[in-house]
Amino acid sequence: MPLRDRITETQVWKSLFRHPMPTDRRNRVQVMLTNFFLHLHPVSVRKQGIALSYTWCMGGATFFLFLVEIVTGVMLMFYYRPTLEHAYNDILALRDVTTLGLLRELHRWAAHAMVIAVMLHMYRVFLTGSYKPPREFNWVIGVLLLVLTLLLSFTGYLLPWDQLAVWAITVGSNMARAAPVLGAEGPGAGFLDLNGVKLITPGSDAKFALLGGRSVGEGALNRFYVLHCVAIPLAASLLIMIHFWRVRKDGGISGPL
Amino acid sequence: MHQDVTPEVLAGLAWYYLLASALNAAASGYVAYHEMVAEGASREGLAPRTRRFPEWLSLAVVGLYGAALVTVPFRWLLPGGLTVAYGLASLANGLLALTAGADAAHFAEVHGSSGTQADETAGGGPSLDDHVPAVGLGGPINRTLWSLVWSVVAVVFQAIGLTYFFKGPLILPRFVRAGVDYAAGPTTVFLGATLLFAAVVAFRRVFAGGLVAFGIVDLALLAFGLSLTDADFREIVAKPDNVPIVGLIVLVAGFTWFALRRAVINDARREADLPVLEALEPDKVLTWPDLVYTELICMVALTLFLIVWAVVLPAPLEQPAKATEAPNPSKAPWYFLGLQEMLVYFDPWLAGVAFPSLIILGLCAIPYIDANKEGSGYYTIAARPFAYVVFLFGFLVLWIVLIVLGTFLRGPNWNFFGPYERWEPHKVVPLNNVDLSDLVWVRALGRAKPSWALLREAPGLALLAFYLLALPPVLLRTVFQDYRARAGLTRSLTTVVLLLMMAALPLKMILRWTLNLKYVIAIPGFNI
Repeated sequence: MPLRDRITETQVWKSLFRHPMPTDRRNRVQVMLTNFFLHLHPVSVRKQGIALSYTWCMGGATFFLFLVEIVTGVMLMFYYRPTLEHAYNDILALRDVTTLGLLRELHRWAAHAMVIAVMLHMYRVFLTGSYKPPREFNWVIGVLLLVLTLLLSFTGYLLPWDQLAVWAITVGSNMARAAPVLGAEGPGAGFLDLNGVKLITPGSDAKFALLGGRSVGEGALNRFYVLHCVAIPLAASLLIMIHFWRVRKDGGISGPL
Repeated sequence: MHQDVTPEVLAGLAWYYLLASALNAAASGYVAYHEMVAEGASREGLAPRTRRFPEWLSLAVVGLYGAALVTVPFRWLLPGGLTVAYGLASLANGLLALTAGADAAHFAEVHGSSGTQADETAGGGPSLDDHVPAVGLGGPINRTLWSLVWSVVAVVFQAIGLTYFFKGPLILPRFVRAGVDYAAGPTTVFLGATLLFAAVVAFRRVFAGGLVAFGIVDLALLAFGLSLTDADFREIVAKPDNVPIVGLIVLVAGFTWFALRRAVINDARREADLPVLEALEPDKVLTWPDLVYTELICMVALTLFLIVWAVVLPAPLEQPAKATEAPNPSKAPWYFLGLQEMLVYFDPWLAGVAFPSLIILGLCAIPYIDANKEGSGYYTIAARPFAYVVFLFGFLVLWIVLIVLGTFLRGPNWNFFGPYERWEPHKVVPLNNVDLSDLVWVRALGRAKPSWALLREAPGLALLAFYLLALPPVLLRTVFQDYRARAGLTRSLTTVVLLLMMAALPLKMILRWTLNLKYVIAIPGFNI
C-alpha cells in the first residue's frame, strides 16, 4: 500500500475532505457541494462566462486583492501603533530594520492595484450590459463597494503620518467643510440653528466629525485607523457576501440570452 | 541633479528598446507563421496548415535568449558584463524578425505561383494560408507586407537600443520638447482627449483592426521611450505612487480596445444574423477543473506580480508630518485627482460634495434608467449607442483623463505644466477671470454693477433657471421623445437631469477657456 493511500485512507483525512480527489465526474460535482471554500461556485458554468476575454478576471482579481489586503493589513496591525508618537517611526522601521517590512510595500501596491481593478471591473460590467435585469440591484451594491474601496484606500493613506499623508488628507477633508448645510463653510450652514444657537460651527460640522478635531491630528489618526482596520472592512465584507450571493441567484455570470 | 541622460538611464533605455524590438519581432513571426483564422471564424472546411514555423528558428531564438539569461548571474565574471547577454538577445530579435520577413515573402511567392505545396487544397477555397478576417473587420491582409513592416520596425528599435547600449546619447530634441510644452495646456489635453474619443467611436472599424492598434502601440512605445530622455518627464513618471497610473493608462487603453474590437465584430455578426461571439459556445463545463484552475493560476500570477513590484519599488515615505509646512503641490490620493481638477472650475461645495454625490447616485441609477433590453451579456455598441457613448465619455474622459492630467501635468499651486517642463513653484499664471455679472453689467451695458445681490446676479440666476427648469422639458419633448415614450416620465426626467449635471463640467470648462468666466453666480457661499 503506497504511502499516499495510507494517508488518504485514514479516518482523520477522510473526515477533513469527505471524498476522494476530484478526478472523476461524480467527485468533481461533489467537491463543489461539500467544500466550504468552493461552495460559492455553481457545480457547472457556461463556458463563455468564465472566458478571460469576457470577464477580464477583474472581479476575481479585486476580491483576491481584498484578501491580500486583509492578510497583509492584519500582519501590519501587529506592528504599527496609531499614535503621533509612534506612527511615523513604526513605518520608518518597517522600511529600514524590521523583518518582513516588505509587507508594507505589498499592502500599499495591492491597494493601488485593487482600486484600478475595481474600476476596470465596473467598466467591464457596463460594457457587457451585465447590470440589466435581473441584476440591477447587484450593480448598486457594486457601486457601494467601489465607494468603500476608495474610502478604505483614503483612510489608509493617513496612517504613515508623513507629509504626503497628512496633507493629502487635509486636501480631502477640506471638502467636508464645504458640504451644503452640514459644513461650516458650505451653503446653508446657518440653516440649522436652535433658538439662535448655531448647530453647525467649525467645531461641530462634517469635517470635525470626520477628523475628530479641527485639523488633521491625533483624533483624526485614531478615527481613520479604526475606520481603516475595522469599520469599513466589516461593511465591505458584508456587501461582498451579498454581491457574490446575488451573482449566484441571478443566474451566475451574465451571458447572451 | 537635472541631467537628461545618465549612464543608468542609457542602460535602462537600451533594455526598453530590446523588449520593444522583441515585441515587434514576435508580431512579425505571428503574421508570417500563425494560422490566421480570426475570432468567430469557423475552421471547418479549411485546408491544413501549409506554413510552418521552422524548428531551427525556435531552437535558435529560445537558445539565444536562454544563453543570455544564463550569462546574467555570471556578469561579474565575464568581460563586459551584460554586453554578452544584450548581444545574444538582440541577435535573437534580429534573427526572428528577418527570418519571418523572408519566409513571408517566400510563402507569398509559392502561394502566388498556383500553390505547389503538398497539402494544399485544390479548388481555390480559403486555406489556413489565408487570413480569414473576423466578420466586420475588413478584408484579408497582405501578410507579406505586414510581416516585413513589423520586422523592419523590430530592426529599427533594436538599432536604437544598441545605440543606447553603447552610450550613444539619443535625446528628444529640445525644440520638440519646447513645442510640446508650449502647445500643452488643460484646454488642449481635454479637447484633444474628447476629439480622440469621438474619432475612436466614429471610426471604430478602423481602430478595431489589429494592425492599426499595433501601429499605435509602436508609436506610443517610441513616444514614451523618447520622453524618458527628459529629466523632468522621468521625475514625474517614476515617482513610486505615479507608477500605478502609468499602468492604469496601459490597462484602460488595452481593455478599451479589446472591448471595442469585440463590439465591432458582434455588431457585424448581428447584422448578418450570426450569433454573437459570446453565444458561440453555449455548453456548460464543470467548475472543477475549468474555473477553479483558472482562479488558481490568476492568483499565483497576481501574487508573483505583487511580490516583484514590492521588491523593485519601495513604498514612498516622506518627511514626518509638520502642521506648519504644506508641500507644494498638495495633492489628494490619485483616485480623487479628477475631483481635485474640478476645483479649478467649481467651488468646493460643488466639486467636492455635490458632484461626487451625484456621480455615485448617477452610477446607481444606471440600471433603472436604462430601459433598453438589448445588449445584455455581450459586447456591443450598435445595440446601445447612447448608453455606450455617455458612460465611456464619463469614465474615460471625465474620470481617467482628469486623473492622468492631475497626476502628471499639475504642479505647484495646481498650475499646469507641460510634460517636459520643470515644476517651478514660482511660475506665475495670470488670473484674469471675471464673473458673469461683470460681463453683463460692466462690459455689455457699460455701467456699474448693482449693489443688490439678487439684481446683480440676475443674469446668472436666469441662466441657471433656464438650465435646470426650462431645458429638461424642452429636451424631453424633442431629443428624448422616443425614450420618454418607452421609459416613462420618471426615468426620462432623471436621465435628463443627470445628463445636464454631467454636462455642467465640460460646459463650465468651455466658458472658462473662451470667456475667462469665473462664476456664473457669485453670491458668497453659493458660488457657481
